[in-house]
Amino acid sequence: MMYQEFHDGNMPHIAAFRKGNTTAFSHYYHLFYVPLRYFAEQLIKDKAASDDIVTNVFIKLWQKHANFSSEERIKSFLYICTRNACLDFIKHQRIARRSEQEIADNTVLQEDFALNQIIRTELYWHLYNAIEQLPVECRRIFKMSFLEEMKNQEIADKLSLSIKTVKNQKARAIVLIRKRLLGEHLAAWALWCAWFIIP
Amino acid sequence: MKKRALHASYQIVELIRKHLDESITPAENSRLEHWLQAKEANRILFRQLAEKEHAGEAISRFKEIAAERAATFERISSQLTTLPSSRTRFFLFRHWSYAAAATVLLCLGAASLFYFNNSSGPTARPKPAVTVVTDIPPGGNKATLTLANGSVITLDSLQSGTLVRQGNAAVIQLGNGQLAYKKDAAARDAPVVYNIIATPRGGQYQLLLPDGSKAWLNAASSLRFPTAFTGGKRKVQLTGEGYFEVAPLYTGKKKTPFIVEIGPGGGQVEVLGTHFNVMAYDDESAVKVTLLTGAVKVSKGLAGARLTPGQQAQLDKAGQLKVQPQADVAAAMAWKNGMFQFHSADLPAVLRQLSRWYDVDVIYKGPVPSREFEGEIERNLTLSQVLRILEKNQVHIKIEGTQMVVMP
Repeated sequence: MMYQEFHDGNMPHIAAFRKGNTTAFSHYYHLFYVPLRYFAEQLIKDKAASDDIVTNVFIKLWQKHANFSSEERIKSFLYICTRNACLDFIKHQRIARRSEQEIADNTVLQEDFALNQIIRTELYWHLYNAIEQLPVECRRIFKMSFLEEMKNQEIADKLSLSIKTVKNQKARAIVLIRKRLLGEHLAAWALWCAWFIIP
Repeated sequence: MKKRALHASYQIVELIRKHLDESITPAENSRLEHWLQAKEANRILFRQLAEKEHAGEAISRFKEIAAERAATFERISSQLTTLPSSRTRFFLFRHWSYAAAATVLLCLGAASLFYFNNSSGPTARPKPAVTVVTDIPPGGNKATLTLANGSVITLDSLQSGTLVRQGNAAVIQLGNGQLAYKKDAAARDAPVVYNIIATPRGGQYQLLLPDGSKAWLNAASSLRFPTAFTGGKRKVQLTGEGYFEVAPLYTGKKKTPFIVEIGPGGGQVEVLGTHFNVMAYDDESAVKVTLLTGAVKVSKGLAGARLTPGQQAQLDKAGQLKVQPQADVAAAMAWKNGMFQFHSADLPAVLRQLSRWYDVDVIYKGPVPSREFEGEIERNLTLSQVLRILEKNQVHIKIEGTQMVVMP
């Protein structure tokens, strides 16, 4: 993962970040940018605007770097600012093209909606990271199976592999994800993934 | 959305992980059950989480966003070391001249170009700007108080203590640019007299009226008010811009109305107890009354409108009264919170605000550049710092004495 390159073993990221270390900022940026963007897109369904919003939120984070004492606080700050900016965006849109009633009924504006989107984002993000850390071949097969819903035989044909190799790689993926995730108390995802790939 | 609610959501994430892992304890499981039972939306979410389709969609999208991550980071990383560490916010500028294209982000965080990194903070001296010969500091807490007998007292934030007695009130300077009128029991029968507080360009001041109402005056503004509110009405006269937090006042059982009369012949705002902003500068096209809480009645001659919170009444020079149902409250209130805030503002509108706060005149040496500005910036920057931001966005302005000269 890209953000791992920024790890500085001598000082915890949070301490470095508070002191205004740009490498630590980069670490948090790479850690949170993708889920935050995804979260914003769930709220406003506008990819370009989501990018603007999240970028601005990171600038705000940087400008307040001295205020943060934990990673969770950073994460919460980012989610709260992103959600507020999305609400502003929706309100401006509302003036432009929507009726009052439509807005009154709009569940997106409700806090629970945002909180549930955060839960969704967080869970999927952990899964994504576990998958991304699989070895290349293993990951390719896992994704074909998981994302593209290809049958074992189809995968075998496409990659010119034996069906046995495909099965082995899938089993290996599960083991690796499980191993990877167990370290982070994420064994759940291994099981979860297993539901998908075992027919 | 509060941090506490978020923390609870992170815990739900953990519980769901453990649930799937089958490592969940009975106590944790009952917390998860409780969450599921609380709302239908929670149950729907829980069901969706394990649906391949949803997870697959999310993962594909994560992949795409991750591919854009580095490019987006490039946009901000070059400016990180020059971004200020204070609460100075970025100034976002959008360029609309390439109309068909999506908005092009030209400048992020430019406000900060003047700062050295980190600890130096907002008081750091700016680097000399290329086109700026002199610099002009931001405005501050400055005002004059004209007493009933015509004598004038200069106010600033340094002194504090009782300045003078006026009618039946003691006039107290509180420091921090605040002036308070306190009822003086000993002088109860003294006649009511009028005082005027006035801010110059580049000044602002805060006033605590004898009824407990508060008024904030922006630059180049004035408020005339009595030293005590007697009779059935509370009347003050405003020029320029002021924000009011009116305290309810009872005469017997009846609430006493508080009336702000605007400029010469600019209409009036009548309230019982509420928070609102009145912008009535002569050089702006319309008087704008923005309501934050409660209710106000805005009227001029026969035209009148009642506002509900979040609405803005706009009274133009021709006497037309319009109500904007979804006002840009944040922009209207920004000045009181130490910010300039612009939403789709043209250059003259931006420069009018700068002109009042930095006490400079604006000269256009050519056609007025047509640009739209979006974003906010602190009012404690020096003028050259602000101009550098505009310069970054192809607006070239020189400071010449007390003039801002906009170059073609």
